[in-house]
Amino acid sequence: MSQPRTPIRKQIHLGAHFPGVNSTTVWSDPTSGSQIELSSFIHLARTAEQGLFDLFFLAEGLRLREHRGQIFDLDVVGRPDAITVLSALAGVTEHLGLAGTCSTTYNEPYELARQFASLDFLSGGRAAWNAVTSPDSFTGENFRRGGYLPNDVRYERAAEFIELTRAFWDSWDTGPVRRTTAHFDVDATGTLPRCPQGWPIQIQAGDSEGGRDLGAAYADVIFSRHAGYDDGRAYYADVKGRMARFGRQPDQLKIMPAATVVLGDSEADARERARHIRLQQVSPQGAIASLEQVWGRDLSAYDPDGPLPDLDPDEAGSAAITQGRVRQHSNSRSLAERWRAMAEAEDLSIRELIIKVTTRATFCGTPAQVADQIDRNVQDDAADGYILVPHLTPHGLDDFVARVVPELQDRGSYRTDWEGPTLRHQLGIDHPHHAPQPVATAG
Amino acid sequence: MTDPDRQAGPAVRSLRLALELSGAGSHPAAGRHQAPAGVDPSTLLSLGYTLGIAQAAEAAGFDLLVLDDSLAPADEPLEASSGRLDALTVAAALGPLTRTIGLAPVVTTTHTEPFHVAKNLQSLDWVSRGRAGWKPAVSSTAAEARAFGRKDPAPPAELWAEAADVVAVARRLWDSWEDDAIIRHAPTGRFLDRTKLHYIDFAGERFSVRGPSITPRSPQAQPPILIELDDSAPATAWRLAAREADLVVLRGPDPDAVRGLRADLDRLLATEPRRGPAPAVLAALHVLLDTAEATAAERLRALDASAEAAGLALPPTATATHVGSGAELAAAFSRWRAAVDLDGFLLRPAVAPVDLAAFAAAVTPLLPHPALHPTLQADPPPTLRDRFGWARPANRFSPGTATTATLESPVR
Repeated sequence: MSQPRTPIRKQIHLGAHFPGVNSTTVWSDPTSGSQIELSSFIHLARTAEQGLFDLFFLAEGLRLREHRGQIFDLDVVGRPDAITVLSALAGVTEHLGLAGTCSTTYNEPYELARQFASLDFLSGGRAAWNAVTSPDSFTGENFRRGGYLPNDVRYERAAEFIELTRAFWDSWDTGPVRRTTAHFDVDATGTLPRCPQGWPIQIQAGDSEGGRDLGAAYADVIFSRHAGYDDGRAYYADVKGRMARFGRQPDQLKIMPAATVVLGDSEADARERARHIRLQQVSPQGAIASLEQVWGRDLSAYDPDGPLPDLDPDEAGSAAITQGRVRQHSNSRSLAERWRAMAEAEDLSIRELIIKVTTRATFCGTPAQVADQIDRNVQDDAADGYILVPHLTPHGLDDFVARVVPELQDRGSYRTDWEGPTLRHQLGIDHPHHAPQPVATAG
Repeated sequence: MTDPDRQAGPAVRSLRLALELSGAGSHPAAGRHQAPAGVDPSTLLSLGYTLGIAQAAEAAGFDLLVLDDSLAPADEPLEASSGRLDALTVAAALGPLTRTIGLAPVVTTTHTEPFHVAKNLQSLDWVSRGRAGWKPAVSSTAAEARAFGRKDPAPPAELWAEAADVVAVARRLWDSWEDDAIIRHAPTGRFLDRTKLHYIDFAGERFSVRGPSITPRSPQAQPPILIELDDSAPATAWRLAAREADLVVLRGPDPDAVRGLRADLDRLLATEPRRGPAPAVLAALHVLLDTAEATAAERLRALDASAEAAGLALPPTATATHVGSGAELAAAFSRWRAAVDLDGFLLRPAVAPVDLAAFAAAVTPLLPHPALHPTLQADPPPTLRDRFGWARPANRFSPGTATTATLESPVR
């Protein structure tokens, strides 16, 4: 008996984001573990590997954030170097992709190409690099070169940087890299032959015009902020539509937005859990700090459970009050007016308002409902999958892997075994110049 | 001599042993001989190869595995055996897969960012649960400078002065978080007590670094620093070793030469400002041992012939080389230690897996086996500092920790 043929569904790709150093990560919960001990990284990586995830993802920040001139102390602070941790995970995992974020501003192509090639060799072809640009002079105070890079050329440097890393990865086959560009002047052969994946997987996260073009030109995976259905579809169509200009096919790029998941035994249970998590994520002190970022001044005298301030924001103060974090708004006064109107209309306290305005698209419901939401988004081209950001270290994805992954597999949209040994196999993205050669057959 | 271990016998009860791994081995033809005489070059870049060495060295009683490295670009001929992985990344992969051996990568200071160097070594200390070490090195060639294109090559004296600045930055960043900075205090919403984090505000002639580290203080707080010296090392390297090294490796052709180097070091140790105890001092030795298949002399002839046939330069004679049996090596340890005040040796195996196996078979049984020592069987196992008997240092930024102006001044 032959199996009935079912139409092949678009396959979902999943990543696990190690909880970070922002307010998504809850540290006050009794089950919250260490953000720095190796055992925490191993637990989350092994959970992701058990769930057949494509990759494990680490973020980066090269200076501790500051608020009102002091180190910000309300969120998790402190983490190890990404490549060092990923390399430590290489020997205790077998198939999981290992993705690390590294700045193109505070590294050099020769050295970074070597570090990622080393990770690719040590992991047998599982390395991925999320290239970010960090132009701020605040971070530059920790580095030799300081913060000289003007904002408008950061994508130019990033593109040149990526081109050079690729040239170093190829250099044993194509000869010494001799290039003088706007940002670099190098002449060398890399220290390593071609690594197992040819080039490690390239991840990009930019959302501006320049960032979207960089992703369309170079990225194998885009880590976006557009996890909702409508904004996801718009972003997906826009970025994949840009690829033809760079001579690339849409399926050579997987768009994987950051997403959070809250599971419950019923829909009501999941909603109640989500509300509880939001209260943990936005502490009374955290609500005031979020408000201060918009108002640009000290609001510590205000009651987080009381109404919003009557006074207007200090626009200049708002731009400077928090350092080391991407500012999410451009006009403080109009944003403050919108928030005040919203708080008045719905009778919200400061903390309630901050919870409302900072809540992001979340998959929330029973395991079957969450699987339906993710599957629908992927089938309808709102994404190719998601990088899941758990709110707890290190057990935050245990339930997802145990309860949602089987649901996705039942729907025929998620793998039941590994696609091959390397991250390129899991993602289904061949090296652009080194696609597998067909086996020669006689006659 | 009042050290009870040294009074106890001719050899080696307090003997410290480090193994330095450089690709297939220290002989230039090490990667050209197939097993059992050599190393299959196609395996050299796999985790399995280095892991095999690390686990064998741990089992054979070595205190420390040093992973050689350099940022020198690859040169013709490009062969599998000339590929070189980033040593710190390799050390990190070994962290969870080994238990007690120290892991000290070479990390260079010339073209790298001091902030990354410091933070990556701290991270290695976290992933090895307190077994990180660091062997600083400089990049003096024009080829390395061209690979970065950011600055011109400079003479070693200047590069080691810069290395001293990088060490100064690292030591400060490593202390930039006090141990109890993370408080998780729910009533005030504070994860962190920020009064226990410190800007280092290092401003030298070559660069400045603000701090604090992005990484919390690591299990050892200050991973041990190992500096290798010979009679051609510049004064800036010697001063850095006298001030900051936890382990000093002396490299000379014979015990007499190394005794002279030891005297030079002692003179500097008497005058240079320094925190903490005197460094442990090791002598560097190339080793090529008898195996079941061939004598050491036969192996050397074959390796030399192979190198000659390939047009490779033969190993320099400036480092002492032991070619012979394991028992003779154990006797050589005693002879050297009778001639020079040494805590032990850093061995460079000619063909790493072959000579390490020969060492384990012939030398380890002659030494009191540290793996049987109760402290190494404890759970959790000791840190590298514990293993050398060095206390976890007090934090230089904590209130009550004494500092002096001399100690804070950079090496010139």
